[in-house]
Formats: sequence, structure tokens, C-alpha cells
Amino acid sequence: MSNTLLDLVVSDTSRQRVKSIEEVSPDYTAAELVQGLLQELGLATHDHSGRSYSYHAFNRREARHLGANERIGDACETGDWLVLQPEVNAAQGLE
Amino acid sequence: MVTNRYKYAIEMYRDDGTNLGQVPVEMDPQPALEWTWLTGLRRNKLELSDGTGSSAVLPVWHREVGEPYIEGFRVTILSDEDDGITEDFSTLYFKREADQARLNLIASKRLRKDETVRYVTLAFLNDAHAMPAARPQFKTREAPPDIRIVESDFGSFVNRSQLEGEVTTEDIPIVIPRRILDETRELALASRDKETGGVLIGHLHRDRTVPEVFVEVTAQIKAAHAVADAARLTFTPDTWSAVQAAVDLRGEGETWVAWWHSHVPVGVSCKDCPEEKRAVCPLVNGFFSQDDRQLHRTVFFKAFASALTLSLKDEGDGSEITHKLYGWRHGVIEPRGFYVLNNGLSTSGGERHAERQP
Repeated sequence: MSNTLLDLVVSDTSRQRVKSIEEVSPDYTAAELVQGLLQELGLATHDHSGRSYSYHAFNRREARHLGANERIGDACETGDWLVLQPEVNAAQGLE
Repeated sequence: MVTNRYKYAIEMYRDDGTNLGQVPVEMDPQPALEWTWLTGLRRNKLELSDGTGSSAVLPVWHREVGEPYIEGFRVTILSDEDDGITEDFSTLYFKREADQARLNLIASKRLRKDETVRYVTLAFLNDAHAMPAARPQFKTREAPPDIRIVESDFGSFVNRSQLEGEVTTEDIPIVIPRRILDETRELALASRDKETGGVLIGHLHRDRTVPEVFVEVTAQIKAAHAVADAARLTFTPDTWSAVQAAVDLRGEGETWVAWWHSHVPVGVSCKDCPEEKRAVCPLVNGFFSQDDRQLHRTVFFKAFASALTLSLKDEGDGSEITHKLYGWRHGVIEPRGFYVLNNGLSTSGGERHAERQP
């Protein structure tokens, strides 16, 4: 459990857009951090009908998805790489 | 940092010139930024490490009627070692928003279904100082993407391939081995009544002598942990983790270059359908739905990324399948052609060396 500020690496799911984030408060929840990172990474937040996408943060070191309410200071260490992964549909609605 | 100080709107007109009003649109600059970045890479003006970080988006005012009407907008990405790259985008960039605005007018009974509309696009300085939503505070800086680029001979790939469909000079060339098309076909046939799909991985190549950057697909990874029915395929966070685990296990330094999925004929029997209807049927000839477009924007936002669809034609044995490829062109997703690499030929012959950026 960490109570100091953390330095992390974050990316989209393909790792083709990567950012370093520094001085992250350990008291943020995973959901709060993910929400703050979507705009930073230029990721889509809604589907075409306006519904919000559900993104999960995958910690590469531990090879697991963080729970939405997990405290970042408990789930991460400085240097960890979080991958933001959405749940998305391909569907047959013809235009 | 992306500088984009304007907000955009669409003004709709009936064919007889009646003004139907203005609709604000939420402009998504990312596809335009990615297209500009790829253009810079293809012209030897940018490197992978340049990213899209230092960039600006500005309206191009209409030459005849002037501000606030626009002919399009201009994206500039600055480079550490060069003047950078500038690309212009037409108002076609806003076509999806205009189509949606038209549907909204029909829903509100201000427009009949059979009426067509014209639209013009406007831009206004966004001088509203809205309170930003409470967001976590931290410092950020761009880091190099997990992509490598392989210096290769473009001609050695083209000479061993057949062109399927039309590739314009604006399209980044994409090479897909026939064996991978066959694999996706077999998986789609095996799935039959449900959609199936996966991710295509491969390498980004650069031939500085042309100059050109192109994509080579090297493998397909079937979507594990996906949820499928006859009309929908849901890629879950576990799907993406499994794909990356497979890429890491292969250890070839591949990156995600495309995705694929099948469309099955839902309650449609093609054998009972007249030939003239089949000729124009999107279920048979391939289509890219709104959901497909949004998935592509969400996960496959790099301008070199494409999407392969397989449409099954139900002739009783279900054996006929149409492949169709879609990709980014000027920030908009369009159908496009690709090169099919013949089976039994190694793709390594054209490689000079690989480099990771930076």
C-alpha cells in the first residue's frame, strides 16, 4: 500500500498511444483515474448512440484488471503500466 | 498539446433553399490528427516518435462567403527536426454528423424521409470559459508508442501480390497473405449462425526510396472471451488482454494493424432472393455499420489501421463469402482495396532491417 505520489505509464489497448503520468495521488480509485485519462489519450468515450463506453484498467505487471473502486495506491506501484481497455460492439445495424 | 480553439456547427437546407437551422457538432479531431501524422510519416517528414502531441487545428474560411462558413479545416503537426506537416480536410469530415442531423429532422417531422438536404459547416471561436469537470490532477507527457518500423523494399511485396479492389494513392498500401484470408473464412464458416472475429497483427514497413510506408499483416488472432450472437460481436477487456498476450508470446514485435469480423445473414435466405436484389444487398456485399465505425474509432484509431469484414451468403451450404476492407482516408472510414500476398511466399525477403522508435 502506497501513500506517496505515483509515476505510471498508461496506454490505449493497442499500446499505440502511450503517455507517462506523474505525481498521481494514491487515493484515486481506478474508475476516477480511468475517467481522467480518456481525454488525455484521445480515446472515444461514447458509442454512436451516446452511451458511455465501459473502460477497464489492466495492470501489466500483475496481469489483471483493476476493480473500479480499487485505490490506486493499493493496486499500483510506481513504474506500473496501465492499459485502458473498452468493451465495444461490432453489430449489424445497417445504416 | 493539441490546440483546437473553435467549435463547429452544421447548417441544413432543403433543396429549395429553405433554411432548416443550425446544429452544433462535437468535432472529434483525433482521426484528422492521425491522418496527418501518417501522411508525415509516409513523406519522410515525421518519425514514429513525433506523435501527434504538438499540433493545431484551425478552420479554413470559405473563399466566397467568408467567416463563419468554412471550406474545411487545417491540421498542423510540428516536428522536432523539421517544419512538420500540414493537411487540409474538407467538410466531408462532418458527413456523419450531417446524416445524423437529417435523421433527427425526420424524427421531429420537420423533414420527410424522401427529402434530401444540403449542409454547410460553420466554425466559431470557442471563447466560453466553461468550468472544467473535476478530473484527477497529474502531469502527463507523451511516450513512444509500442510500434516498430521495418525498413523494406515495397516492390518486393507488390511483385508477389495481387490487387483486390481499388487502392488510391492516398491509401496506405496494405498487404494481407492469402492464407490469413483463408483462415478468417474457415472461422466464419465454422461459426455460421453467430458473428465471429479477431485482430490482425503485423508490421509497419517503410521504403524510404519511394518514399512509402505500408502495412504487412502477419497473423490473425481469433477473439477469445468475446460474446457473439447472430447480429452482434462484443469485444471485452479480456479479449484485448488475450490478443496482446498472444502478440507477446509470438515475440515478433508485431503490432495491431486491423480487426476482422463476419456478418451472417440473419433470417435471410439468399437462394430465395432475386439476383438483382442480391447484387445490391449489403448483407451479401459487405457493409460497415455505425457500431463497426465506432469500434474502429475507439480501438483502431491509427490511420494505418483497417477492418476486414466477411459477409456470408446463405446458399444452403453457406460457402460463399465476400471479403471487404475498410480503412481511414482523410480521417473518414471508407471501403478500400488491398494487396493479397500469394501463399507459400515468405514475407521476409523484402526486409532490410528493423528499428524501434525512438
